[in-house]
Amino acid sequence: MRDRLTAGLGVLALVMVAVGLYFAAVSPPDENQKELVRIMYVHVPAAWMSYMAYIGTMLYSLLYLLRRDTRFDRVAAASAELGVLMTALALFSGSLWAKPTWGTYWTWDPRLTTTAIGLLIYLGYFIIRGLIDDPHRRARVAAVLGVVGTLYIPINYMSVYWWRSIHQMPTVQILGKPHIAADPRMMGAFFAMLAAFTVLYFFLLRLRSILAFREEARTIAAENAQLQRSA
Amino acid sequence: MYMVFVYWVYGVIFLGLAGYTAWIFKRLRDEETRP
Repeated sequence: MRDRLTAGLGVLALVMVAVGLYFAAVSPPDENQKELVRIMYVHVPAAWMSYMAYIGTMLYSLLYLLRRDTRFDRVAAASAELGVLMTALALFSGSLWAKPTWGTYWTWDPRLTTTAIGLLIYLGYFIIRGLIDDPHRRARVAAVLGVVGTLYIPINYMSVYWWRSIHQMPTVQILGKPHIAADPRMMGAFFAMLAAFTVLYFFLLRLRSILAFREEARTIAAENAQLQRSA
Repeated sequence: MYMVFVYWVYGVIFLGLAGYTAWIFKRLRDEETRP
């Protein structure tokens, strides 16, 4: 049934999440945010996982457009589903973090607004998929949206630089000179959880793709059986 | 007081992930047991 690589990734993800939780629990409180800083150790990895998921959708959409093989479309859709889930979790956890720090659950801050728009883009991706019956036409239209939709990532990442924002600057600055201003124990917890969520993404992507493959195989077998009966 | 929000966030994230994983496993099992 499920292959060894998927099972191995699952076990590894579980162990890494447990290690990440340990580091998150023993890391010191922040000078300003006190215990609330621990939210960062899961909120940012959730957002990171959504970025990875959308990049995965883009890559597999491009592969579909190049090869016209529906296997790639299945993985692209599986990745987009994970992206929607993680964006929703990042938004929800972010709003819970916002209440004690900003005094409100929601504000039309550029980072929050672009994240909400990103969620709508990928919800639209699934609505469009549901409207088209022909597998290749569905895959082609979804692939174009899957590639164009990725523009959301740089806009969302840069939103805190481009517009005056209440949201903090990126936790890890990846543009220009790398800069991390935090206690090493805090960064240990942060990167441990980031690594755990990265492995978790690959595990869930494989698992969801296997499910999509089996469902599609069953649908095709049922259609072929019906064709044979009517012939 | 602050820890309530921390527990809430961890609960939401990990219950969300666990729920999604369980949903995939259930559908995989349904596929296997389908006649």
